[in-house]
Amino acid sequence: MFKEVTNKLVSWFLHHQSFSGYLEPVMQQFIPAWRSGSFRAQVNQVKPVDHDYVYLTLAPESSWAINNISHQAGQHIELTLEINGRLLTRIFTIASSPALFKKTKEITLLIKTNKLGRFTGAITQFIQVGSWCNISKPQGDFLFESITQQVVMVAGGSGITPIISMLAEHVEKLTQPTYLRYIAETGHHQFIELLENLANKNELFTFELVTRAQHEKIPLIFDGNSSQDVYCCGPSGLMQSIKEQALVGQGNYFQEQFSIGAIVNENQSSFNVIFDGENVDITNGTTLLEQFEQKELNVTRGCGIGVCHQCVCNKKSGLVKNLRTGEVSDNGEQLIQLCISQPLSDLEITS
Amino acid sequence: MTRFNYEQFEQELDEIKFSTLDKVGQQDANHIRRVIRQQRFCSWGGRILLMMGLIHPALWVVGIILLSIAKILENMEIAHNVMHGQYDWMNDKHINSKTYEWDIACDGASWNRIHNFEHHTYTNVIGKDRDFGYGLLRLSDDFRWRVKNLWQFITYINLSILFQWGISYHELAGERVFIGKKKEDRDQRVPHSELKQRFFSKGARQLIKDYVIFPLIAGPLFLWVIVGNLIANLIRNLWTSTVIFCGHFTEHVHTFTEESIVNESQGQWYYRQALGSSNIKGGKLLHLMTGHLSFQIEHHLFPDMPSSRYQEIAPKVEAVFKKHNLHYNTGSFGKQYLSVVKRILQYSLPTKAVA
Repeated sequence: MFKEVTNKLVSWFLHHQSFSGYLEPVMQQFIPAWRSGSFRAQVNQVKPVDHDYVYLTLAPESSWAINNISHQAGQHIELTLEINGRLLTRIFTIASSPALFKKTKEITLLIKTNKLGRFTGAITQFIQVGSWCNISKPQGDFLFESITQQVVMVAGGSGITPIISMLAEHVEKLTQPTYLRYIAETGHHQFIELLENLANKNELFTFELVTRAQHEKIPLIFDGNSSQDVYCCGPSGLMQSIKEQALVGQGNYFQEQFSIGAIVNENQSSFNVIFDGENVDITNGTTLLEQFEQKELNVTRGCGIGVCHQCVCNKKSGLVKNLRTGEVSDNGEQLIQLCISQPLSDLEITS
Repeated sequence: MTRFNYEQFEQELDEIKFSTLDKVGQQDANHIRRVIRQQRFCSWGGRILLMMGLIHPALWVVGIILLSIAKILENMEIAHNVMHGQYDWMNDKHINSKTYEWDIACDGASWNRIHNFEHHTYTNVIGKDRDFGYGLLRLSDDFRWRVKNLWQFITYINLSILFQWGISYHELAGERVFIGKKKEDRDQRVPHSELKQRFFSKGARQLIKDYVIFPLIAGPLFLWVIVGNLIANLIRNLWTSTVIFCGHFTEHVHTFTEESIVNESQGQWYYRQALGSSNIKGGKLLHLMTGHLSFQIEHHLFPDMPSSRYQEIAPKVEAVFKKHNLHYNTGSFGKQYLSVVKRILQYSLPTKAVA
């Protein structure tokens, strides 16, 4: 209540959304990376390894973990770095376990860098040990719920991160055989030593490091009688095929959906959108964000995968489908994320 | 006379633009945040000192000066440039053209329509750019002389004194919201009801802040603060008005017709911007206090380039102008201001059309 009143007064008379927004540049002078609506974290280690991987170890400020509970194994955070004056935000899974956080007060991210990438390409260049960055609360519901079940896990490339966190957290409690197949190019596998340690801790846990060719040669076989729970994280093609196989069995299937696959719609249809009073023609072929950007409308692109809410707009009327949840909206007014919204009817939207 | 080489002119200015935008980064982010900090300190210091008048009147005077500086910095270097989108690349939640609202009577959205869109796209095109004379002053022969132009210097002084309200009312005047004949052909992008609502809402909040809330906080020093705020607003109005007039209405600034901009190329657009603005020479402090509108030419050529870069590119722009035999309209503050006064007076009287 108090906060609402101050924010109202601030927006009336100081023209900022919040008092902290008004203060930000001043506070940052004394407390680096002080940003309203975000947590601070100090960079404790930046460790580049072979094949363009970087391990980034962060110490979040104390208010990030309430009662020392940091995250749940498998969850991700938004990481915001100031790279040459630009605040860039990307999503990364926390690769370290909550148990480790209790001891070290640190979290570790595994980042696959791309020399051309604006964000990952600049990490080693711009991020110094001791500097400060911003992180969000942990999010996501790709969690391990199968301690008493037989489990098959499939990780592709950097999709190992949520799975390694789950294993590190739960390996000692496993009561049924748990098998991990980790697919990557020869020599690109990460966390090998840690995996070996985990396998030593509990003999029910076994793992294989394979290449894609090997994976395709020896398919995982799930038959109608098996009741294994299946966990998968990796490229969307891999997840799609594992999902199809897994659903034959009786166990549960879990996956981390990071990339939004292209929408294939046999019935292409086009709609009219009124965006801030301007009429635009769109189709149901891609997300609203992509089409608005093509039309050079004034939209904000954030993470592009439905997490950071920077592209949020107000839908006045019309139907959209949320591509993350598959949910179809009702016709009324609500905030929608452009980057994961597929138009299903004529729309009226304000920025 | 040889034909003006628009293509080459365009290429050379584009080269300056892209090579400079490539360099934009941390330094520019630091600049705008530093100015915001300075603005906050001036503002807080000013507001506090205004309540110290009983200890010593000089403190009150310093308070007025600080508050005036804070208002000028906010309007000119921070708001004007941020609202142009010069700092949008920073992805800062609070420093971007989408959310920024400025500390002035004029509603930000209205300003974005009239200034960022109309004025910067159709600069000095008579009939399209309503900033040319603000519908009050006759500043070229494109306008028919009327009797009221005889005393337009007084009109100009009044406009300067009430400048923030002039800007605020500008769109509503053009749209004939309250008075005047409605124009049939004009497409209403914003309903009049919304224009009115935003005009009154923003204006009232500005008045309440400076003439009710802060005086109430001051308690017994109520009047000191009211008068202080009034003077600070007046100083801001006079200063911003003067800077803007020096940037657009000096003697050599050209005007253009609607026909001349049909199918205009980027080079021709640059050419029009080049002849439609004028600069003020001075030191770093002057540039900061004008929001770098002392580089009005550079600002008009590249409205969304961070203002922190104008000083650096000015010599390059001037060199390009020289190469193309184009007048680079610059001069000291005094010279440019006299030139403005001369233009206002000159067109007060009916003139035969002479170029």
